[in-house]
Amino acid sequence: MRSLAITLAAVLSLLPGAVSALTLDPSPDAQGRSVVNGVFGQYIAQRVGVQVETALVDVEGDNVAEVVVRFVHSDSCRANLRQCRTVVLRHGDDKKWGIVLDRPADTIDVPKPERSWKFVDIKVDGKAWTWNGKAYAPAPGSLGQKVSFSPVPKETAKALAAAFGPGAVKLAESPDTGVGYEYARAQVAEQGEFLLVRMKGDVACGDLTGCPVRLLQKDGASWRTILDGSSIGDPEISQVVRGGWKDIALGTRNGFAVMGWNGKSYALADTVEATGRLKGRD
Amino acid sequence: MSISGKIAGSLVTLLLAGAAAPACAGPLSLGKFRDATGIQNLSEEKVSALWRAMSAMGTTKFLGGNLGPLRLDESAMVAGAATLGASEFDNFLRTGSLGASVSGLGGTLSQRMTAGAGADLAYLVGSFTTGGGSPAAAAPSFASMTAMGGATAESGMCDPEIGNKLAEVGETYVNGIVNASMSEEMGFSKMESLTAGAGGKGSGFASLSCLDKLFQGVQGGNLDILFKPPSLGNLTNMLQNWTCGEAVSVAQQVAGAFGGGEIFKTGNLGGFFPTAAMGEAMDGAVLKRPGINQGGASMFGADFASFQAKTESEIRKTANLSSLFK
Repeated sequence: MRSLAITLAAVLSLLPGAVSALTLDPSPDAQGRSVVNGVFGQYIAQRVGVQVETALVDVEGDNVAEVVVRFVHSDSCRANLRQCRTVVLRHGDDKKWGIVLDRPADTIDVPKPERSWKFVDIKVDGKAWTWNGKAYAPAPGSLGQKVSFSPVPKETAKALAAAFGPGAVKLAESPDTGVGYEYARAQVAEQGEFLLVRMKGDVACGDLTGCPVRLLQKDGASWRTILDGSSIGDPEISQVVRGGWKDIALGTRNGFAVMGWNGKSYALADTVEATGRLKGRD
Repeated sequence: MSISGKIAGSLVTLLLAGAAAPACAGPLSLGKFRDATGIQNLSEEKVSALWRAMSAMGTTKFLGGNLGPLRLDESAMVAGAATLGASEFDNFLRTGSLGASVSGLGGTLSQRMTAGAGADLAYLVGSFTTGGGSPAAAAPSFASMTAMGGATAESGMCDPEIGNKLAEVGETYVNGIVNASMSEEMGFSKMESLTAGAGGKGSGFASLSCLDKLFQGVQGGNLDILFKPPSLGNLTNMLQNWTCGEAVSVAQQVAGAFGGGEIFKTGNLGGFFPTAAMGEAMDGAVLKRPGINQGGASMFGADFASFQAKTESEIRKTANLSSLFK
């Protein structure tokens, strides 16, 4: 029976699209290590005793290898050295090695491509990252369950606007601003009643930040704001729990900002984003 | 018309209006604005809608205020509102903190606002504030382009000679009002005897020290004199209403805001927040490593770090006369 399982696993690993945890080689003589030494020379030099692990993969089926590298060092890892900086280097069209994925990770799974020039999804700690044309970015829905919003009646909107600041209140009292509100029940903790509210409209949403979002907790006869942020696309409620409260992932241009409970309110806990700096001109 | 003729005509208009007037305007300004800021999807309708929203919210009261080295004008505010959304931009100006959780947002916001400042969008928003932007800023902006003389009226930009002259005259006019308000004969000191108690000690509004008033204004959004210089019309009223000796410093500070404004520079009030660089392989980018309870400045960069909302103790410390008005 055990031999059958091993055989089956071996067969599956050969199939296109099959996912298997990537094994990284810590040897300084490993293939791809010279590339890593060239790209990360200074980074390695600054971290005495860092263990550099590498592997070669082919993410788009062009028979040209990409290099996966993981840096194991107290300065490169978190969660007791379990999640370490993991990078995928790709030789781009500009004939230079560039970073297409960069993330503290425990495991990284790179399936074999189904056909040539089709980028595979990479799984980082079980979460799917997809190719966005320039780099790998976390796939929508990968961090949790998407929230479905319902429109807020106009007469209720004025009351909700207070959660978005004094300007929003004045805006709600002004005619024809094109600003509206949506809400969703979001059970982020076992106890309590919560409302996720989103401000909508052309003038309400920023092109870099998305639409303003607030999470309100019922506090007696009123509601208290416990999350203050903005989201591009729908926020996602994660299954990751901190102190009894679920994480909330807000969409950014390059991925997600993960908001976690800090004991009093939600605060930025992590960013899960594609590599590349937020630019004003892109 | 010769250049000197244009200047003379403009000066007459300015003096008659008693306020700065736009030197030129037109659709080309929006095109240049889009190029400078990188906000390419900004239509004329959206600019007008953003401005209407800011007018409805009262955000436009910050017009002419200084945000670090940047003097807020219409185009800088449109750039900010397009980036964050109108109400979130309003919150940012009122509180000094950015609620959104986008890596590098502070840097991008300041870059866009600085680059967009100085563009004359009067044909869409109805007004144009001269002197917008920062001549000292590293990023190219409408203000710096004008100052360099590289732009012409034909290209949709203001004539630099006229623009500079207008700004100069406006500044002189403001300084004249400040000096008059501070003078022995007609200044605020004459008003002191009218208030209850010496040095402003009395009841109600007059019982508060000048500095208390100042920072209540900053926090409450009523007397945001430290954040922005008041309009010309409000200036004399505010100076006349100060009820204690610190008003001298306040007046000097207001005057400074129109001139060098060194004490308004954010660098005096804040500092750098360390970020964790992940090495040269990040293509020059700095990977942010935020954590629970970590302040926005570490995410947003140093650009607006000093405008993070301050605690009461921090405000009182900043309000120390000896350090603030030294």
